[in-house]
Amino acid sequence: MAGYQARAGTVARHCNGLCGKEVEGTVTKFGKIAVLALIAVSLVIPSGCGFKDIDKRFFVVSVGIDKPRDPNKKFKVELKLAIPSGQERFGSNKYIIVSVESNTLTEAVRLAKSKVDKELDFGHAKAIVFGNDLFDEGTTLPEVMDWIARRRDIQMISWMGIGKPDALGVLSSNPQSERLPSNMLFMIFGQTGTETAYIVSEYLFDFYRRMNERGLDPILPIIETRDKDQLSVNTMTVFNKERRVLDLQPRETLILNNFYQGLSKTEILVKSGDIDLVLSAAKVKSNFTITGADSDKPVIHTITNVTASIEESKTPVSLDDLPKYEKAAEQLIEQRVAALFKKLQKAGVDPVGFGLRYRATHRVGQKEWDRWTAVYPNIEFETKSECENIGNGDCG
Amino acid sequence: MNTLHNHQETLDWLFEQLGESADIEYHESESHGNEGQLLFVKSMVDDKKVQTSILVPFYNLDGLEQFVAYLYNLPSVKLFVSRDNTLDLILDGHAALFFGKHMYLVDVKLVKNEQISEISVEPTLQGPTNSLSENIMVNLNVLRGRYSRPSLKVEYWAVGTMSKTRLALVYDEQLVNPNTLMKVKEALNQIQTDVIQAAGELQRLLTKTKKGLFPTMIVTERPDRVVYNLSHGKIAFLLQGTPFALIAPAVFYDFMSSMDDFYVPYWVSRFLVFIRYIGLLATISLASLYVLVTSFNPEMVRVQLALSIAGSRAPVPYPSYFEVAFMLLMMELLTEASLRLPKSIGSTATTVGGLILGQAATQAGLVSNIMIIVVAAVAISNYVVPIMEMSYGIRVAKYGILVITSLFGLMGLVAGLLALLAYIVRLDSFGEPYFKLFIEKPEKAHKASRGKNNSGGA
Repeated sequence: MAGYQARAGTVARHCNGLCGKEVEGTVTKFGKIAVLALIAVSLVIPSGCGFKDIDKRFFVVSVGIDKPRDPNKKFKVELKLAIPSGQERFGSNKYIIVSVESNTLTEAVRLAKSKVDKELDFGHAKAIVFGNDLFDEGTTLPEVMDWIARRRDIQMISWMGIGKPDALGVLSSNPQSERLPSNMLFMIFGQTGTETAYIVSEYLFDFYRRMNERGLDPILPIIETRDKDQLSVNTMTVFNKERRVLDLQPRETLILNNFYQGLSKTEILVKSGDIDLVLSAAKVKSNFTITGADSDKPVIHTITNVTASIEESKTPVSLDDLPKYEKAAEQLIEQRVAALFKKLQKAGVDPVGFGLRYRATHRVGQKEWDRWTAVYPNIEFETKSECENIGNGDCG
Repeated sequence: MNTLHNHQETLDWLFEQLGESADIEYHESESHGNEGQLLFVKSMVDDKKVQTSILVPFYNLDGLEQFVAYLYNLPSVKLFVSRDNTLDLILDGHAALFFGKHMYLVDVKLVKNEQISEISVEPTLQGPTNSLSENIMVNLNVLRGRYSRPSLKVEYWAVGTMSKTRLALVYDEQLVNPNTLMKVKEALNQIQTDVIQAAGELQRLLTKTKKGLFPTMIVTERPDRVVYNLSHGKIAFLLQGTPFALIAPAVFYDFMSSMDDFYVPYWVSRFLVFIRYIGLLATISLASLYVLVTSFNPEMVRVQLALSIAGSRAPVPYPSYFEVAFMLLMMELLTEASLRLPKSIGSTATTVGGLILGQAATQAGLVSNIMIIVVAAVAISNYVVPIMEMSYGIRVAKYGILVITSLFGLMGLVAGLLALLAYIVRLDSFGEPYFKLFIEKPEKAHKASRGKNNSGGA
């Protein structure tokens, strides 16, 4: 009983601290009632910040940033807001798009709030799409990214991409197969649905890291709109730290993605001499090493290991010729990888992270880093490939 | 002391005390020139026993001496000690025999409730199916039958100043922790109550903190559980008039284990225990998680789920905590109603309540579909806890968590769960830490406590 009274006493003292009236340490009826009333009142009016019922919120499922029509403004922000439906099914992807032109993204979002009836919630903004021509004139990556990275309710696991022809087009596409708005983007990038090495999935955290990491440059997939509200993703673009520099072709995307995500569901076209076939790679593993990094002429060695089987052939295939096909495939892979790296090198970008590897394996001060950036345009690539053909794909 | 004069006085005193109650029987008998008086409470004695152990020998045996010798050899005979004692014994089913200058008290108690019924509160699939009975002697018989070690000791106590309910303290002398035993006896001595009728009541009287939430002793009707615990050095209390035994000391884990755990293969039993803890977590936190997800942090769940919750909440006009409180209240009322109702109409309440609450409440737009699922999950997982007392405690605890989560969101939920954990850790059961998840082997624990005692003494 004594223990109970002591505890009650502390409660009463708490209350006294709050209302500042009662004599300290006494357990009064008033004190108890005051505590109960306080709890009851705070239950009825949850004054604590953050309490807002889910049906009073508008979930922003994707954010688009385009070049504005008004030349005096800097951005055009589009927010795709999901309208929840009682029963979700395929095709129940209703949404509203609110677009605002403004000079700052913050302002734009505040203005967008004035156009809707519920509180905007960026907690599920899982796709951020930039317009294709956003970076054409003047606008740099840090200008756009600053707001996105600072905003605490945008999750760092959001997917990033470039929308072609513009972000609005991507946002307003409304595929029949979706069961909630923008789900197609989430499925494509999350690789939960379709899985292919053509799709480069770039998280916000990785993109932001690439923006600030020396020796690793930002990349973004390009999302193109197709007929009938469909989307396709099979190319990508490479940034230097501030500007968009280089777009890659689908096949180049495939190779780079292999160094980046290590996705294996790849096909390899082999066409040399009388060989004309397509290999389906079950396993592709790429790696690189840098030798002579401190010399004037460092060399980057890449090795690509492929385990594949023949999926399609225009000419008759003989099992005895498997080594021959392997050889031809290896040569082709080596050529293609070398060509891609030369192209990137020429553009002065490093999305694979050669510079990062150099930094990771050497003591790097500003001086050494300057030396690396000076050397990088002249670096030699030695590409090597090992292809193992496990079969001719026949069942019998 | 044993003089005739005295006994006449005692008899008068007894009549005075017992008064004019209809079930007081007084006989005067005469045989072979010997006169005797017999006094007993008719409702407490077995007529057959009176007949066979008192009346028949009295008339058949030759002379007083033989009859007295017979009585001396009867194990159920007690001698006069004091007036109060005599009165207590008579009320407990003894017959008082007066003849000549002698007075004897013969146990002719009528024992009802001897039959053992089936287990109804803690069923298992393949374990023993009979529960304890309401009779302390039968229960002791059952326990001795299952656990026939000579070190099994029984002590009789009487608790309740008015009811003088018989209580048997059962323990294995070699295994029991003497410290705990001492504490238990101390607690028994300090019990101050008029009437005691149930094991749960005894538990409340034995614990020091009078306002507790979780049980610190196991209430069980399973003889196998009692025996198992006896074999682990615990102390069992058997109370006359209830088929439930009380076991102390108990740790939290005891309440989460079912006797089935010992009767099924190892991995199955691990799985069952795991499921039970999942259920425990679910029943404590699911309702709060619903409030958390719908009103504070919808980004915690997948966007698909968030939108479907938002969709199902569309017709609900009130904030989420109101919705949850309403539904939980309905669920509690339903549980209470089906418990209190007679068995024959109990099922009606469940059907009507279930149908109306489940279907109509959503259609009327009072609660969302997902809320119904949450409430159902909370209700079901609550009854996964094998010991009802613990399941009750948890049922209450979840409301505390709900209130604090409704006020402070995720922080509230975490703080609430921590507070609950701290509360459980703070508890103890007769000196044994309550939240000790891994119980030592009895011999080891015994030794350890002995060691502690010695070092404490030095």
